Amino acid sequence: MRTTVSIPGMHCESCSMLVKDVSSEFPTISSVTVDLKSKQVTLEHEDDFDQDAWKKEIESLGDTYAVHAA
Amino acid sequence: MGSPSKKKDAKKEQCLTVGITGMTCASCELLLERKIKAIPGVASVEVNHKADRARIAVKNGCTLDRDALASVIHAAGYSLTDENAATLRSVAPDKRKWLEIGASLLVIFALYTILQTLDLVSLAPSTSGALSLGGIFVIGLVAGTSSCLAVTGGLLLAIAAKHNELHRSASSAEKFKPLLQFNIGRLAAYYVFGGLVGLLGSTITLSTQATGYMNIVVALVMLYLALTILQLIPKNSCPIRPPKRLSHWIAGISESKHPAAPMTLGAMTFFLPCGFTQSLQLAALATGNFVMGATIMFVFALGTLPSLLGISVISSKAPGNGSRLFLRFSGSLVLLLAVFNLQSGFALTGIHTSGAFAGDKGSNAAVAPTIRGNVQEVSMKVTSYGYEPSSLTINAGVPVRWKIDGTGATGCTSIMTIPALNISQPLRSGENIIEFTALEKGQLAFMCSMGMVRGTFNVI
Repeated sequence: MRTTVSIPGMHCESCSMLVKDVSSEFPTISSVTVDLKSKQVTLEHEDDFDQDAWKKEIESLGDTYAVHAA
Repeated sequence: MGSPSKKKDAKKEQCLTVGITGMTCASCELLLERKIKAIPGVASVEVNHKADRARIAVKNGCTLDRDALASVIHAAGYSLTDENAATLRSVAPDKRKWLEIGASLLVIFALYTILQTLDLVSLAPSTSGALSLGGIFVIGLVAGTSSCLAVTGGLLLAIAAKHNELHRSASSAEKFKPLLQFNIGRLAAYYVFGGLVGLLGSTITLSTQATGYMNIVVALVMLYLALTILQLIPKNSCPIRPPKRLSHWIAGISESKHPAAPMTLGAMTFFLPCGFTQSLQLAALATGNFVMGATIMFVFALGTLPSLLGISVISSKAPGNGSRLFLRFSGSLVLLLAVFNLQSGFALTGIHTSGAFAGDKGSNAAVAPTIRGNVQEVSMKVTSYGYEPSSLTINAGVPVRWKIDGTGATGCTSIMTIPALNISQPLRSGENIIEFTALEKGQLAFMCSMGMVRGTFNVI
């Protein structure tokens, strides 16, 4: 399955690495693509991926990383 | 560590600090904190991107595997400053920073001296230059390598450096984009405003005083950018503390990724004090026609393009390690230009300064006036180096007939100003006469329209 969300606060390569790093802790996510220009993150994941848990984990990084629906 | 400690943490943890380079923002901190925390034995970690260091607490009984730390930091795209002697951190990079800044200043000074000796700085057509479109293009070409570059090029460098600092990983093409936008905005503005000048029949230039204040504001912006680029003051902090809204606006404009930001800055350069721009505005004014006025200013801006694009290309092509050196070099250059502009601004607004860039060093022996009837006469020549002589003696209360040979006038020296007396006069090739009376004894400063070339009357 594929889910695309928007994280408007992302501004640099570190942000994208950060999102990928957090995502790597979720075994249900198979791949993460970050587009810094459009501020969009595309996740390839299994059906039982817990998006709320992922969102919570990303947003715990700080206010900058608020996750919005794409 | 046998003695009992009051702090529980200190008893079971061991702290060490390491230097890390390459961090630019809070995201870098978060990223590294996560990565370092994952190393076995690490109890907690605190990364500070402004100080370029990480404080790592290691669980008691464990030792930190330095190789693991180095590889983790490296994998994230950063580097450990001194892998063998963590406790000696910050000494090395600080020293290196100052060395690089010093070297940059030396190189700039050497280049300036060489250019001046070879008479290349002032390789400019005089006021008598033909005003065909081809001639205007050439004037633009020359303006691009002259004092005008001090302001416009300085701003461009500041944008480029700031952009590089913020987007280290961006490709050359991406780095080049804002600089291209800057130049597009500049060309468009010159066309439109040039047309307006022709149509309205009046120049869009500021008064001497306003030009001075403009110079000071531009210089302060450049100074702030230079100091942050050189990391002499931490990011987002300014010791002078300008009004919050102003600094936000400046930071916003120079750091914004929106294409309109560099374009607006480019467009604003029309109003930047530049003698060449001013003299061509006079030419556009003379046409009294939108298209002709617009074409003159556009062609002029086109002429300045090669050197401005040159700056853009060099700054966007600077590769990884070179980009740090580029930041140091351009930071130093912007710093010097800022000081230069600041002095000009102070001179125009009537604040007396003296310094390394105090204009002309030609002949400093004051020349006494020739008395003719009830008028005293002094003569002076405008050369490509400045005013000759740059120091003139006149008597207070007696009308002065000031004869100026304007044949060598170029760029800003094609307009002569005495800010204190509100005199501002364009110089023609050949003899020009300015008449005034100095009432007060003391020093009376005169200068070009940008305040960059200066001289004084000794009123006795």
